[in-house]
Amino acid sequence: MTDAGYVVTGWVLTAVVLAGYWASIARRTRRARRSLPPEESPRP
Amino acid sequence: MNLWREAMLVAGKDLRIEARSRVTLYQVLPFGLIVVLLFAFALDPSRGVLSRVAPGLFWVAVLLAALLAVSRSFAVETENGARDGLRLSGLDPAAVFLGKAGAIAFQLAVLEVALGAGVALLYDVELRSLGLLVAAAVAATAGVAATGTLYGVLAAGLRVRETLVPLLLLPVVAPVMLGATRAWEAGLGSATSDGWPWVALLALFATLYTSIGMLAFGPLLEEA
Amino acid sequence: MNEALLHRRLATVIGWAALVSLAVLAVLGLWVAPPDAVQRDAQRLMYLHVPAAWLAYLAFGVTALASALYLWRRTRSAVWDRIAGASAEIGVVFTALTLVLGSLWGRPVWGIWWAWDARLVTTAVLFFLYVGYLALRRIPGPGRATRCAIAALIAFVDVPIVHFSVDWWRTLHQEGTVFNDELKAQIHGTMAFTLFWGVVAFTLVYVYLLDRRYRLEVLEEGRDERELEQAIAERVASGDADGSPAPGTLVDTGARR
Repeated sequence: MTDAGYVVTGWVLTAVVLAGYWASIARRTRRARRSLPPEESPRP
Repeated sequence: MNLWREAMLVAGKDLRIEARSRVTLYQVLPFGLIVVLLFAFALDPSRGVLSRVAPGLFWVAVLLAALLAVSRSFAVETENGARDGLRLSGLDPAAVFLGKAGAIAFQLAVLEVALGAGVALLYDVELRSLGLLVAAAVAATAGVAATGTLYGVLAAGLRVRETLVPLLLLPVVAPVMLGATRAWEAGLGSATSDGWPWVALLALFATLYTSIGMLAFGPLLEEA
Repeated sequence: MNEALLHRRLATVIGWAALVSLAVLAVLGLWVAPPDAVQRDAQRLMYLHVPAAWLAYLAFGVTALASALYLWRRTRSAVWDRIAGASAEIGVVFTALTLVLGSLWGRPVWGIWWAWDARLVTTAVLFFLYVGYLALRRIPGPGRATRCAIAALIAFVDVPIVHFSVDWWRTLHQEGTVFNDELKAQIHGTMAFTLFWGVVAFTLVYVYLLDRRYRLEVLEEGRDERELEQAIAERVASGDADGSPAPGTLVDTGARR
């Protein structure tokens, strides 16, 4: 593949960013749920 | 009282405060001049670089000084519940907006004359079309003052106001920067293209953001 | 099946659809699509860059629309405020991605990391507009929704002005015509399909992330409210425990009222 360095970097970076952002939302969601009092429904 | 009378009332108040405290004159103006000087340290003054980029540097200095002017305009409203006073005064919020923006614009105009003289002296520029320079400056200043007042009231009650307003304001006034510099390049003889279409763009920007400001100032003042 | 469960199932389906379509995009973009005649394999970055850019602007549009709906009395609802905030956070991620991918694409093809053309500059300004909006969003308080909504609309109006003025500026300068011409190049067949697939895949990703980010917003709002109530309760309780006297009694500090 020509310019493989650029192409691979771009695709890997995209995967990492999307996965990382998704994980960030998941992590923050877990943290917010933990502070819930037991009687409230966790899923709106 | 009609809109203009109320606006003049508010502008008069702000300008009277300035006349007594002289903050714009003794602090903001020297700041602008220092910025103009600093650019000369940053760039090479001996090879005609400065005269070519003078319009851009001038407008950057004005924009940075405008940040201080906007900050000051709303700092005077924080003491003694002045904001509550504005809210309860029964003045039309659109008039308050026009008044405050007008006072900022007036102070910026004074600043621009002084900075313009500084730039003309230090950067060795040639004057080609004074009318173009003035028209562009009026439109650009109106746009910056309107947008600055809008963000100023938006951030008025917030503790992070000082760092927030520059972050919010500068990206939005990028087109003013662009248009004013291009118009001044034409007016100072360093560009061959026509500057007047840029003045039209600046006027459009000013009109648009003044309108938005008149609409949004009321709700924002309520929340401040 | 109750509504909440249906919602959960739908979100899961969209999530999986997004993941699968991204995998398919990778196959299409890295394998199936042929290398470009001029750009060769570097063009494969376009299949990410263009969808990311599309999403950056879509998310921004959603933030602006939700902000307008919040401000308009007849449709005012916390739902719009949350959507605006959630969409903005997703948008800033995609805007940053767009800019970086653009540089990675531009360097091998045109030899430059950056170019001063309308699209790139507007995207850079968009990034900063987003950052400002998110900074505003972090400031708590009852007026947050109104402040943010107005800021979003101010920014939204600005974007076309920025684009137009930079475009005009560059055409006057007549620079970078090669750059501009190649960006407008026609693409056909597999390449066009892959690009289209990329837009679809990223849109699914956006919808899924918006849903998840929205739910997070709801949870965090609830938590902030509870923390505030708790702080107030603690303050009141500590006031009582101080032994502050009922009004009218003499305070035993030696001083007389």
